[in-house]
Amino acid sequence: MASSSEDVIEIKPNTGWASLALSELWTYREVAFFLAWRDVKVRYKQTVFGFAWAVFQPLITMAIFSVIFGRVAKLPSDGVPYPLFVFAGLVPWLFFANCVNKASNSLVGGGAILKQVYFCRLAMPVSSIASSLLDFALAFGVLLVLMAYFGVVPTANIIWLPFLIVLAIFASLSVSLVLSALNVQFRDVKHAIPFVVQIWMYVTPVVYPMSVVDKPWLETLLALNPMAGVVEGFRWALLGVDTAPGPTIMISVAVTLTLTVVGVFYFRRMERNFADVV
Amino acid sequence: MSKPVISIRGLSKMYHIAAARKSKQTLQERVVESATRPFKRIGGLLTGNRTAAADLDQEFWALNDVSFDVGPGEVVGLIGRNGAGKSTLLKLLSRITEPTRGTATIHGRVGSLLEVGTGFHPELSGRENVYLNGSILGMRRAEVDRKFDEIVEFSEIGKFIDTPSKHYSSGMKVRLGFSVAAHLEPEVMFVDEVLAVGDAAFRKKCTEKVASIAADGTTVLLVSHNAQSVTAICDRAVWLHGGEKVEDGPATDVITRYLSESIGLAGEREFGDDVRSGGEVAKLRAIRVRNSRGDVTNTVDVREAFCVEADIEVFKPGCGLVLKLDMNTSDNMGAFSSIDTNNPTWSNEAWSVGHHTVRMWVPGNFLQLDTYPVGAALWQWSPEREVQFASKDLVCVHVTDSGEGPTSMAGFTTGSFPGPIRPVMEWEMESGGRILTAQDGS
Repeated sequence: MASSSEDVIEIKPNTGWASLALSELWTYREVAFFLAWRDVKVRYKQTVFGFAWAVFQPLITMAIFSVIFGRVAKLPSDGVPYPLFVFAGLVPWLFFANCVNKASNSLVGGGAILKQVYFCRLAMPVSSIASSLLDFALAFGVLLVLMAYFGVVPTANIIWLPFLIVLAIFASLSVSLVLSALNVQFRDVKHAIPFVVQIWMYVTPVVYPMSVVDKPWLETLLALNPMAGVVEGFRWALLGVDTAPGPTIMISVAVTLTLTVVGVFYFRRMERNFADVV
Repeated sequence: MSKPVISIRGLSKMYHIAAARKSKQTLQERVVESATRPFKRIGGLLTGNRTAAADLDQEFWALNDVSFDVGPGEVVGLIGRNGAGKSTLLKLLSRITEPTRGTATIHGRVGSLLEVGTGFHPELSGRENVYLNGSILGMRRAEVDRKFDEIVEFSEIGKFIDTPSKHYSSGMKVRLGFSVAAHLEPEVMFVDEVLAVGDAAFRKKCTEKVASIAADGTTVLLVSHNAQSVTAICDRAVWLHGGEKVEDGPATDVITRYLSESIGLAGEREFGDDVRSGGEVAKLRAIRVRNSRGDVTNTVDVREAFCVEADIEVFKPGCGLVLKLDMNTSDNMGAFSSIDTNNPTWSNEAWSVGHHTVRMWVPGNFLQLDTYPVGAALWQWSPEREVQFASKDLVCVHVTDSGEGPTSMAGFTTGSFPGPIRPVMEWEMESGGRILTAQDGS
């Protein structure tokens, strides 16, 4: 049994900023695991193509973008074939977009559970993000195939890739925490998210390289977007484009850390009322 | 009492609710209000005033200053009407929501069974849902592994355990959900209304399961609208009303008082001209309960015969009327109904215009100790059939036991004496070729 009669639960009103008690998430790790496992199991149930959808989504987006931005608009691509260039950006970007979409609705969608049983509420957005990692892995596999097809060999910079993936996870988590908590009380969030995510993509160097931004102040401004560092970093680590996004990534890391701390505090503060308002 | 397992001190929960709109608003006021509302809400959001942000401005205390202790192994029933704060109390204790004031301390592993099948997903199989639901309720994976066969057996799902649960009947889902929760083995368990699930046979099984969990020394706090299941399982009951504790004591005592008060009916009810208690043909003027001495009362002794008396005024000549009286039990089951056509001299004859008094005599040593609300229906039976008046819960009869004189219990005073009725039966004994007869209790 998990615990003994030494357990003591104190129930009292908390005012002001709650303590974080992140160890609680560890206590409830199995809930997070099972919720993520449920998401994965259920996502492609009763579909003909199943997990292939996780691959179609970035591939089709790549095809459309290659025609519109590569052929028609003739955007530069740092010397890499445009389809590969845009796909390498889409893989982390779509991970982020899917996380934000799903995690933001995780609390509202799981409202019935919130009202019936107590567990660490962080488990819900965290599990949404964990389940998105599977789609990310599949898309990443396709990216490797595309790289082989275009004959692009990764450089030694690839050792930075795990770090970039962790950065993408934390960027998704921080945004999702704030939006999911906000969504509980204000369903406006649900309606706003599709637009926010779409606009967000265009301020992230997905379809264009950061190198086209010629004004340093604008580049710094764009780097405040944590996904800018991630997307640029992906291309640098995998495709060997020569622009090392050092400063951009430093800013992205700082912004992500700040956002994560703010997000966790905000979530913790709001969570005590989730069951009452969801 | 040894150290309490649950200790509740001044626990209170306030909700903000939206106040009713002012009814006398001009169109201009309404337009101004609906235009400024979003800005007020954004203002509230920015200043961190969530109630303003959510447009809520009235306070409502769902639970107000409730205190009590529960000792180890005690089984306590929470009773009260809808909205009395029972479920709010369980939600606070199971940490689903936070109290506004007050504290509670719980020692031991808590399992709460507030709704069965929490988190069940229709696309997952029964097996997968058992694991998911188990983890949400606080079981480790290894624990579910260990108890899996037991859970499936209890749920009677059998070979369908690997079928997606969307193909389950609602009864199957509920059985599986209860079964997972019932195998939690907590030290402190909160149960809310889940005993009312499934068919009668499964309900019985659930009640027995909770009773056996309680018998194993688990401390149980149980909410139920079914007074009988509370009396069957609980030693003690806490009665909440309007968010406050009204009474706390031995289950049978508290429930008896709760039932008589919540039914809240007097022994007599009169209907003036301003009350619609009839039609064009006839009207029920009054209904009352009289004991064997003829006093109007709502409390009679179990040994005593009593009558339900109805005053009927007939307006239209040439019509035959029928009165039906329904006696229900306190948990709203029909005890019996009776119709005055049993008397052939009244049935098909027209009633004369004017006042009539009808009495139904209920014998002593017949009903159980309970509170019986009485309903009445008055029909015109001839020349055509038409309902004049029908209503439940007009008056009530509390059947009590004064302890004086013989009853069916015959001095058998320990333990409960179950059953919906409590008649005195004829018994006989044959021994040595002689037959001895006696009424029990004499």
